[in-house]
Amino acid sequence: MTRQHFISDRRARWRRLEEILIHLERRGAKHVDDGLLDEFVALYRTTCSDLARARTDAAGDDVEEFLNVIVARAHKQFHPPDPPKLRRVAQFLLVEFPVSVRRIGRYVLAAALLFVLPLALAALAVADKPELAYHLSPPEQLDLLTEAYAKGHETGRGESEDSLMTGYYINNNIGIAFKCFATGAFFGLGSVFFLIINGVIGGAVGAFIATAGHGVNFFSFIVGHGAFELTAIVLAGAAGLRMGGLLINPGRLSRLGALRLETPELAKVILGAAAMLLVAALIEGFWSPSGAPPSYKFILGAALWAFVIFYLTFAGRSHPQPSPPEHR
Amino acid sequence: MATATDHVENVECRVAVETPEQIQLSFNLAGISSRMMAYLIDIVIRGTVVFVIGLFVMTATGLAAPELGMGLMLVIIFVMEWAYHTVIEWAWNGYTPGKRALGLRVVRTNGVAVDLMRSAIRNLLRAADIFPFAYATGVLVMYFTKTERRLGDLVADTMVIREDRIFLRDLPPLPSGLDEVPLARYSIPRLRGRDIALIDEFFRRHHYFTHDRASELAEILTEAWLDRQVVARFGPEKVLAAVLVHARERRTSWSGASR
Repeated sequence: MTRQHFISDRRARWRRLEEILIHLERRGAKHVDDGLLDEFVALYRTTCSDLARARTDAAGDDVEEFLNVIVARAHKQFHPPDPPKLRRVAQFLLVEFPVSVRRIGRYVLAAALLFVLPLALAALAVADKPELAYHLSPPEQLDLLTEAYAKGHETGRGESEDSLMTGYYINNNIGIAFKCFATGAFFGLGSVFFLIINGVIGGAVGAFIATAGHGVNFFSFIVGHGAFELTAIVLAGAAGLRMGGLLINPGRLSRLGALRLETPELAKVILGAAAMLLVAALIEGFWSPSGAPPSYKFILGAALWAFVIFYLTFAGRSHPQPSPPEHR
Repeated sequence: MATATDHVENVECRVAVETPEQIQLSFNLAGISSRMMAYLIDIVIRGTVVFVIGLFVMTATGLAAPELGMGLMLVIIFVMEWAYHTVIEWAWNGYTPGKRALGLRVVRTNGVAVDLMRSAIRNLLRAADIFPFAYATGVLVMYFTKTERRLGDLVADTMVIREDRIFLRDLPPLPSGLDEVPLARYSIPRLRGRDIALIDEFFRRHHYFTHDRASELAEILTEAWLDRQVVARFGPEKVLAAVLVHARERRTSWSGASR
């Protein structure tokens, strides 16, 4: 059989497959009737074998290219992306996210230390010499913050101002967390850098405001959303460190192979952290600056911290878990 | 056998993929420039969305609650920066409006659609690819990986492919009098598909070349693998055409029962 025979023999079937494909691509498989789908499947099979034959006989030929494109299009119809489901979201928040966090527990600990130690050191240093704070964080911002916390929150803010600040926190803080994670691609260095920098600035600012005598205002403001926000930044950093760790020491796999295996786990941690930051932004925008007395804020804040720690430590423990990807 | 097409291999960016159901597919990888164009289109769309919603929100909240409007704006800017690519690529089978316009699509390296996790990873890692400015890291990484992938693609195990539409073509216009060329008398090496495709392409573009340039190119194409005598006698273009027809219609190929 010559090429011309091969084509004329099968061209009608290929045309038909293309027709059905156009239908499917426009409307989706759900809105196409079963008879057509059966025909589609049958045509897909024969075209796959046509492609295999074209490939063995004359690789690189335009017939091969043509068949390759149709088969790829048909293949895409067989593997649509999984649709979002509410149950899946619940499963993610109640089981998968905390489980994934615990799997990289050592990195979470490392990230927490990289964040908390610089924070504590900066805080101690600034408590000793307040003027140091001007070197550790932008001076104008520092004065603005001090002024803001000096006023306290007895009166609360207007609701619309709350919305403005919520928007600001979402934009700023979640962005910081994402950068904390993403720059881990540079062998973890970026994550280390961002964790330390944010720790130092946070510690310096907190201690500066406290030594200026507005400690109660500041800490009562920060305690509630801090439970979610600081934890989430540490988790994002931990995911970044994990990524860097795999690049430095991939074990018996290639660097990319090791990363590839771990990607879904990292994605779960980072998506969960994003969800936590969203919660944090809402608390930070609407509750933290409210007129509620500081004692209430401390009590609720403590409860939120307890909740976050309890959640990350215990949620999903009773569920049967697939074994983690093997690295060594 | 060394032929004129050996060096072409490096220019063509294709990857072969074996799908879970054991079908061999090959994909054309998208290059830096087309991906950059797609990104620019998406930037324009993102900017327009922020601008239009911004106008709407600002007029709706007006002077009564300017902070509420600003708050909403910041959320929209955030969503457009961090969620636009992730959500659209996941929900629209690897396309974004920009990618769609350029015929590009994101797939996993085994050829199947991206899921939310992978879409999120590849797009959050833009923060690393963009470092320190203008996607310098991403472009460098793409330059040094054979499969044109930036950091986000490498970590998420994805790639960006070109979805070309191919049409079956008949033979291009060929010089006449090919029967005179007695190919059977000379040993013509068995051609690979790529070689045939190159000769085919040469004749398809023949009318773009001046007469001299065409014979010059044909001379290069016949160099090193076609008999010098036959080339000298019939001219390189005619011999190439004869080889093409011979390869296209040889009887041993395309065998197998038809259903």
